[in-house]
Amino acid sequence: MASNSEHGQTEALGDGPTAGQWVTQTKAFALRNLRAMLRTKATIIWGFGFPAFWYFLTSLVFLPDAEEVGGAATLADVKGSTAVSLGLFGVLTVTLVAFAGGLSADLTAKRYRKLRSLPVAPSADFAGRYLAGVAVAAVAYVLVLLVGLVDGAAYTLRGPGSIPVVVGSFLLFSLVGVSVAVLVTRLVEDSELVVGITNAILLVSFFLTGYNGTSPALLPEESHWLVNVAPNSLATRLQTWHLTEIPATTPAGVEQAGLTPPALPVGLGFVALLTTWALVFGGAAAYLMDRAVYSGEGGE
Amino acid sequence: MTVTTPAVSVRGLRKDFGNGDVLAGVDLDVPDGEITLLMGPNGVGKTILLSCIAGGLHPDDGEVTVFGASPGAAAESLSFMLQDAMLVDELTGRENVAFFRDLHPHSTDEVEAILETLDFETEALEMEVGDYSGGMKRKLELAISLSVDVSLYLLDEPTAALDMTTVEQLHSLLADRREAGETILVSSHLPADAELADTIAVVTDDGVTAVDSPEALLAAVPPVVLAEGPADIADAVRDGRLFEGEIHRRGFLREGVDPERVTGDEGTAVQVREPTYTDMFNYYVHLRGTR
Repeated sequence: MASNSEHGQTEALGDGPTAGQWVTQTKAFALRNLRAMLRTKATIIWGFGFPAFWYFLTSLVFLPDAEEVGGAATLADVKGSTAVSLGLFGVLTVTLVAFAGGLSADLTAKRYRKLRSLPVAPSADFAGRYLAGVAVAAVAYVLVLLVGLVDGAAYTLRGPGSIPVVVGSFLLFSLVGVSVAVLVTRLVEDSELVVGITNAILLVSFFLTGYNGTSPALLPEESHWLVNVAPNSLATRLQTWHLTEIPATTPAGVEQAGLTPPALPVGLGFVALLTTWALVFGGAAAYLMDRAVYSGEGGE
Repeated sequence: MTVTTPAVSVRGLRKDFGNGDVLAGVDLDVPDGEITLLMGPNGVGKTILLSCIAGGLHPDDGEVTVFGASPGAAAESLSFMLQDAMLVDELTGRENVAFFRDLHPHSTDEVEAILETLDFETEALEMEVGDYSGGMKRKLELAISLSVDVSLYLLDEPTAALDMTTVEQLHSLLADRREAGETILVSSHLPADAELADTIAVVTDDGVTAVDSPEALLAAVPPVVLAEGPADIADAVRDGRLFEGEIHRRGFLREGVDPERVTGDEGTAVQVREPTYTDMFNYYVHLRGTR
């Protein structure tokens, strides 16, 4: 071990992590939270199992017959949009509920007393947790799409530009999820309340936007615009447009598809809107991680 | 005369969590290159004091400096072991080690060597920490914290939940670190830890109430009156205060009382003897605890 002189108390003081250390710390938080989430039964049951089960139930009970929607091809598209909707429900389950549960557990267990004593960049903590959330959310998302595929759902990319939009909207929506998780955890802190509130946000956002924007008719007509604005339904409808052949506006004979009106968000402006949501929520969450959790005393 | 700058300096530290002051104006100097023991019972704020020094908590008032800087600025120069607040149960021991190794730029690969010194079966590193005993968790927390190559170690109750053999091994390990010039601040309510320290700071509800070497503190403790059976020794001890043990009741010999004259009735056993570190703990914490 080195002596004091080797670790000159003054040479080590206050420099903050280098870029290389930041990457290492981000990786550390990502791996830690990824492992913890994957070994938590609640994540497996509610993040992976429930959305897939819900898709299965929806397809079995609620989706119309092929004849009602104008043919098997349209029904396959409807199943595709349903899978996207419930896949993103799974994404929000992981990034909001499971993520908040993990952060809240760290705060409640006073682990931040230790973490604050380390030369850790708060942004590395947030980025690592986000990456872990994204990785688990990707599994939840793909799982529902695969269940849909087995059930006969059709996924068709509109073009090469659809790939960055689908991936980007997934990442942006995940960022919104983890950011809301940070905000709720910081405001409430009590771990049981955090789980209850994040679950409430998950369900209310799903139902209030007509099943993530797949059934806007459930909303009053004057509120239809909401489904192309709220981040959960906006992400769902963006992905539905880019992953299925459902038309952007309602053609005759496919009203039962239920996605329109309003028209699907096909323009780049809607991508910009989702980006804005992510930046606003992500910025607020990063600020809170820095000011409230690290510079403050989150968890006390 | 040589004046050395303390590694840690605490002045007027006050910390309140909304239920009254946990720490109310604490002053403390931790000498550089020595082992200092924060000795006190549970609940008097030793962990809070260590957390403030480590930068894990922020004082409401007062000043804490570590090597002349704020704790946050000195983060790369210290390593903080916080009992029961480091490990994630869902991760294996090895995964917990890897996490903390990546967070500190002065981490080393000495964890397994330290664990072996502490009689920790390193195969258990592959188990999830949730399956560990309290002692295993403590050893892992210690190994993670001591494997960082820094100048200052802050150890919160490192000997709690350890058997006496491991306590002695840990004492030896910490003594080696002291020989290497490192500064160690340890909190404990285990009297046996007094043997390890160069300096003991007694912490009570009133803050740091006594600071000196273990020998000097022990020398100031009055002789101890031990009674077995129904002997009434209350008049012979200070403040009439008796400490109940499994076999004996004990108290500290009252000033002016001749030890030779302290005897029990027939059928009882009473003796007067020199104090131990356990007595020293009782004396400073419970009898002389208030200023």
